[in-house]
Amino acid sequence: MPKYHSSGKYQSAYGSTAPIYSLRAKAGMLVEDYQGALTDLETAVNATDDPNEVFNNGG
Amino acid sequence: MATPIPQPSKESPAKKAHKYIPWALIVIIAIVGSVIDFLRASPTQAAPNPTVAAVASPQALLIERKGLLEFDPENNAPSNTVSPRERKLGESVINALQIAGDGKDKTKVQAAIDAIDGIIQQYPDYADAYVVRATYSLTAGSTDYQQIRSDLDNAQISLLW
Repeated sequence: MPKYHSSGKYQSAYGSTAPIYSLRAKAGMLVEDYQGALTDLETAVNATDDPNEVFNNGG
Repeated sequence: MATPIPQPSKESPAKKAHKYIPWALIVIIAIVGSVIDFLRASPTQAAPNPTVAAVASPQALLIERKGLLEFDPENNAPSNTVSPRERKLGESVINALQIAGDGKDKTKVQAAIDAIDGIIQQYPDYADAYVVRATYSLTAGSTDYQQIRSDLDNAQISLLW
């Protein structure tokens, strides 16, 4: 799992994929896919060294 | 006893000038040496580099010639690397964000989602647009969670490939 994306066609505002996995976990909670949500959260935590990127998403 | 009166020099001007020739040669050699040294130093220190801004200001060149590693031209960030297409994309995104405002007015947020739909159609590889659309969809109270998750999946794909 790459922590930081250096590819991609365009520059991104995100320093890692963690905030996106975190948001996906929130969507998983809303569809009551708790297992998927936890998996996404775990992926988010492993994708960054900065916990703010995981939990500081306004969610 | 009478003291001899000093006689004015009877040397010809050409002979006088001849005495100064060695000094003139030394001065000329020093000047030429300085110019050669300057010209040899300039191209290496202010060499145009493809990753460096095309025109460096005189102040920047003076700083770079100090020879400090921190000011090495190699470390210069390329300037103006934003393409017109990327600039247009950025303007579109800022416009969409301005439409949404603080996100409290759901009508405005829905209008922003519509604007982002257009951005995604034009720039399907732009990951952040998918994330913003997913975020705004959640903000607007959308219950189309599969679409939201699909947007986030597309964002991941666009970021990593």
